Amino acid sequence: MSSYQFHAQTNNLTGSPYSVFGLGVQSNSNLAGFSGFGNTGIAYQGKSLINPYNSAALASIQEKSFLFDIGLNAEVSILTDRSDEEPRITSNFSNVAFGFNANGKWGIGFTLTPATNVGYTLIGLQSDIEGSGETFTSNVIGSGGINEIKFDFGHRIFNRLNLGIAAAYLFGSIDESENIRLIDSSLLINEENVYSGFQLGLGMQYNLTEKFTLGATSKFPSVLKGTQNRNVVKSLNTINSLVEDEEDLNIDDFTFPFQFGVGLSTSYFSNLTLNIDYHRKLWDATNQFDAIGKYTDQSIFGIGGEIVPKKNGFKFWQRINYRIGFSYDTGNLEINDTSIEKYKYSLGLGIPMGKGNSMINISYNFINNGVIQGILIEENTHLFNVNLTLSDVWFLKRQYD
Amino acid sequence: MKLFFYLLVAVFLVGSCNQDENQVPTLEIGNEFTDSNVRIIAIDTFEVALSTFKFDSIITSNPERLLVGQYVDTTFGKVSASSYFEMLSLSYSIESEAVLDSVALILGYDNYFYSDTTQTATLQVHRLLDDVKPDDQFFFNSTEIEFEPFPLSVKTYQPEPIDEDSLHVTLPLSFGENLFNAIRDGDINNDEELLQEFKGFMIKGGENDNASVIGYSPEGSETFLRFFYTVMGEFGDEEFIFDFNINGTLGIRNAFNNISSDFTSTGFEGLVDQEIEIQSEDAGNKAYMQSGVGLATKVTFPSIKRITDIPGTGTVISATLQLHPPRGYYSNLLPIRDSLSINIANQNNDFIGPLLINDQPVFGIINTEGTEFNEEFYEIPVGAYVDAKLSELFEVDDSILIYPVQYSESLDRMVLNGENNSNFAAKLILIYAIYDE
Repeated sequence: MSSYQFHAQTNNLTGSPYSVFGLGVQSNSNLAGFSGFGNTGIAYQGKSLINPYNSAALASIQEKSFLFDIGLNAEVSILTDRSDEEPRITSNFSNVAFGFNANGKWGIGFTLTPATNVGYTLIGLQSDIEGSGETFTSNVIGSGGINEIKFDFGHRIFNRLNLGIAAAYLFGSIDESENIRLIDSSLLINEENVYSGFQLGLGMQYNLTEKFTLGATSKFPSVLKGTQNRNVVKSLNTINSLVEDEEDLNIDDFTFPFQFGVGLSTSYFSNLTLNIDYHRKLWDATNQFDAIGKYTDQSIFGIGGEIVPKKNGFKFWQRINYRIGFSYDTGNLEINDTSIEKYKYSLGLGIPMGKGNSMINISYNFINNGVIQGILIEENTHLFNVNLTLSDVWFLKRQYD
Repeated sequence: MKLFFYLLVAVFLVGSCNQDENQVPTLEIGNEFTDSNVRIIAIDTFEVALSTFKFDSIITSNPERLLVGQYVDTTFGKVSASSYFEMLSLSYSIESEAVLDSVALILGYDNYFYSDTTQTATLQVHRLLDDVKPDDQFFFNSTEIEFEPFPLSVKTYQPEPIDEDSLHVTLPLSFGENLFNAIRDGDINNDEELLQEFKGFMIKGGENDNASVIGYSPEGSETFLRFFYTVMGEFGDEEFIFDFNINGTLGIRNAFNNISSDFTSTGFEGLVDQEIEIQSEDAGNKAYMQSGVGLATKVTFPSIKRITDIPGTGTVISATLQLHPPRGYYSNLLPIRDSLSINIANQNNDFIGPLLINDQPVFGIINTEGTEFNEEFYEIPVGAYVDAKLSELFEVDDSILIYPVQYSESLDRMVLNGENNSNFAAKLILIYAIYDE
């Protein structure tokens, strides 16, 4: 096996064979400490963080503050099928984001995150040579993914109501190479599938009481236009030759569906903040299929809690945020009538840095994905995440010189 | 802040260490999620047209082998091979007291034979009346040089090409003395003077032989005209030898093989011109070849370009031509060889060059394994040819030209099944990969 195949894998953000479907698996990337509490936060309002789930929350960022958020992920996955177990390890950039709120009434955010990730290495696929009793072996390697650049704008309409709008540009390429070997010949196909498209979203947060906030979000369907660059090389009777080198070939577009979410956030229990979220993505309507997989409506339930012993405590440990969360995701893929469900258990810490609101967020997630059934596989992933969330108050006139 | 950067560095390090562990040898989980994106189809239904034609002539100059003999074949008719060659000496001095005892033509077997060596054969040695010089640049299998009609010597013998080293043909003493004495007496001092007296030999099988064709080596150490002589001295007689060899200047021997064939009452009577072909359908669904004589098999794939009718975008990744030599047309006496020479011919059936793969000539290799009834067949990798055919901008009327190896220096014959045989038919097996449907 040549080394370049593995080299391709090292740059991936996932090692999941499920990423062979569609545009890959949904990224585990996240901002701030959200991955510590089950990726909930539709109704969450933080003064010094960029809420990736609801653009309306940006209006609640502390007045005149500037936020910067950068994160890294590392994943250790154990893949299990009926007979084998394999580890996959990946690590990479999670996000970079900027946020700003000038006057406590409107805030903006600018976020770059991976939206989907592709990283599969399928070695030794056996297929029939039609018209003969023989088979051929191929290795298929996929990499790449879709990135999202999102611009959020949140506005406080009145004291209790925030509205937000998000505009995202989705772009990226999914590369797949297939290497077929026969006794005296081979075929190498490199396909670069380039996708891009826009997606608009809306957000709302409403403070029911001082301690209860309601949130709602929606995202409109987005069609990602796809084109393909393809390079085909063969070796025939040991003679290597270029079969094809084409650019901008037509391929099917990919549609992200309409989705909406509702959430509740409460600080009713003194120093505990509790989030409950529900997301629904209407994949059925996109009518998309992929090989043996079919896209189906997806629901995600999440609950997360955050405890700060004493927010303005003088002791360092009193200001640490302790987070815990859980989410259940029905998955958007049905293979052989079985949904690829996902359970996620989160633990996280927010460690304050200095006197301001800057924080290092560390989280650990245990993710159970899929099921060992028929051809399906189970993935147990340990996800480690570090996010640096820097917060600085600008335009603050110094009292003393 | 410092803490953060340490963490950052740590994560990167963890990340980069772990990346090595990606190189786990088994990556098979999830393999069932997807099939290959490529459909690979084996197709053996494209037409394979075989025909037989005869080269007007084959160059037989400077042979590696002298072919002599004659056999009659039920399929191919009567085949005769004769060799013409010039013989010279390395020196032209013999002691004046020398006396010739005998002279003989020693022909060294080179192990090649075809047809029945148990049959008694005749070998006739004729003196040439003209120089062994080509009219043009080359000698051909059809070239003839005038020779004395009455043979200098006729030997009836049982060829032993494997068990014996050489064949000894005694020549008349008078013939030997003429040359020997002239050299001894200083009348012949060099090649030119020898060639005035002695132009060379033509050796052939008997007119009515039905025996075998035997290969003799033209090497000076194997084949020579040997003069055995005695020098009378004070202390008794001493015996010596003096040789002529089939020498040539700059390693090119003035020698060639004439190979003729009598196609009377065979299927090849009509092959009077190179451009005339007999399709396999008109020849018992068979194609024929015979080295030396110049019979060759031509193969074309008339419908190959229809492969583009297969829906989707694809490419040929393997093409193998399978040719079966039918049982009953070869035997221990009339063997087939392990390989076939594969070449390209133009529309006039002229030889263009060998079929090459990476500058190396392609051969058809016999496959004796895995076949039911142990039926042998030749496998010829024709991928490069098919690929070129499919990508040619203009229709090129070329073809694959097949004949036995050592084509100009043997008398092998072979029959191949055409494509219309119910069993063991000629087949083109294409492996076609569709990568975009």
